[in-house]
Amino acid sequence: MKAISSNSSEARLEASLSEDAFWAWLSEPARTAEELSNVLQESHPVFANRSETCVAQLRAAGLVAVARQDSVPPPIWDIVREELSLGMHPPMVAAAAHLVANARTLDSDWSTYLNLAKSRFAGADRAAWIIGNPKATSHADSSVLTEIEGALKRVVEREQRVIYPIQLTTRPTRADASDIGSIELEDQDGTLTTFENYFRGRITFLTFFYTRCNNPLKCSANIQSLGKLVSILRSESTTENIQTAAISYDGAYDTPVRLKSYAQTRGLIAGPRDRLFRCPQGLIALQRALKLNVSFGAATVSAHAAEALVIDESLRVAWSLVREGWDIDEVLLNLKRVGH
Amino acid sequence: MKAETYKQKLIKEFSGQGSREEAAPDKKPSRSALMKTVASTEGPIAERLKALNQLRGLSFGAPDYYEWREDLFKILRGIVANEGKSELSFSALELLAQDKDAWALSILEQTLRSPRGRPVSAYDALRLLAYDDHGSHFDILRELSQDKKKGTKMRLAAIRQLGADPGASDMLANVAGDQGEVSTIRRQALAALRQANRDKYDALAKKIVADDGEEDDVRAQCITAMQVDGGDQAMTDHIRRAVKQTKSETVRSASESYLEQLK
Repeated sequence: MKAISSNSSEARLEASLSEDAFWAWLSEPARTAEELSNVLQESHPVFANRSETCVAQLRAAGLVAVARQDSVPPPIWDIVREELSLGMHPPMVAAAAHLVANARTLDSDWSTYLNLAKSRFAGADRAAWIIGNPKATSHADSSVLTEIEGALKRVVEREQRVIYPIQLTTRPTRADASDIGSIELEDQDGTLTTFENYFRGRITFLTFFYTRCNNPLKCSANIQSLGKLVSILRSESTTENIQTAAISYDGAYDTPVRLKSYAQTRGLIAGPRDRLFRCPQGLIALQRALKLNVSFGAATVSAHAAEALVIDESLRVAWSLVREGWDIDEVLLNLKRVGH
Repeated sequence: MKAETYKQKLIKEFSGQGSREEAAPDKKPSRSALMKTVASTEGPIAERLKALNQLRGLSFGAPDYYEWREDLFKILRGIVANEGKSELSFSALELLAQDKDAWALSILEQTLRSPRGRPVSAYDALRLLAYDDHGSHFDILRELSQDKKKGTKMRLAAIRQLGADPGASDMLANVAGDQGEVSTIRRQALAALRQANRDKYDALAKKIVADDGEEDDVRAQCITAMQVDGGDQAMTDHIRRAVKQTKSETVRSASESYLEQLK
């Protein structure tokens, strides 16, 4: 494990960095909110080959560090919203609430997300190390509910001191996915195709998952929702040009047999226009092109955001939904809008 | 007894409010008494362990378990941190690891990398890390699996977990295909490979089934798995021949069973 000097930049953060050095880097007064924002993305190289619990711990420490900043960049609020809505890792949810409690600027709507988190942990509180490293001490410095209650109190106290509004989660975008057309995909039946072949000429709702995901609110719920969307799409004549795809982050493990079984047990009826895929050659090219927020541990995924995209007929990303569970009606509306 | 009545009886019993025998309803200690016993550093380990096991039972039966889980975990972390190696520390770590407690998992990973002076042995740490297939210890598992100096028990425990690691499939195929390896190691490697990379497993299994010089136990395991996975005509021909030629009862029995399900 490498150590870093106190004046090193974010560029020096890499997979071989020790956890202690990462903690030291976070606590340096020279850190900017933008640097912290970059480091908090799951795809940052510093998280490569670490365990799921370790990545959650490091990112939680990052969120706590952001609380010391004068402002909080929008991508960090996205992470906070995702953790409060869907998160199951105690340090991440606790740290997200901690940031809401301590950020200098705040939107009052956070009470909705805080209450969502509270409902998941009510009667089932978890210890959380958000200041110290659990490797260093067996004494947790906080708990999920302690942080949520603290944040709720502050939100009520601050009331309408709205300075920074929460960003909309659905974003129109025109990023181009055409340069990844040659990426090979294998579906739940073992049929091989390419990104170009499947996606060009149709409007596609694309989402991501992996079968070993520990968070039932993310991948499992995602595929369940996709199953419902598919049944609506296939029952309407006006949606003939719309198709769906779900690509596994964990293609080495998620074989066609596993993909098929995962879909079936979640009520998703796969068909020629509704397919689950893995990338037999690996996910790296796709991850880079679509800027997917995912990191990989020694054997599988260690952290990922909830992500869904709409790809148009010419392989452009027409619309994206980041870091939140998606609503079927909203997705249908956007799919039809892109189609026109 | 109706299922609901039985369930209520169990809940009462596990939460310390009832008893196993209706005739003797008094002797069960309450949950708080059990917690106190577990936390008592002066008490005999056997009694504390017994109390912990009773509390573990509550994690299934008591509806309010999650409300006091963290109180118990705090006690368990204290035991692991302060009381050294014992059966109690192992049980405490097991309960914490099952719940993916960040501190416990870090202790287990550290133990695996540097076992001296830790609350459990490296072998026990290895076993308990099996609860975390999202861990970062797979690099050590790969090393242990190939290190013949580590002994069969340790290697088996490591190989077993590598079924969750597709990146280890080449290594597993090498171990499983190595006729100089211990039979149990090869068989465990085959089982792990079947999980980690089905294509590689299928190719190796076919090679093993077709080889009359292969170890009987290894060959029989592949034939048995083929009953579930399905074998092609060439495999079926090999297995038909094996029934006639083999001197191994294990191979014959597995082969006959395979051929039977084709009918």
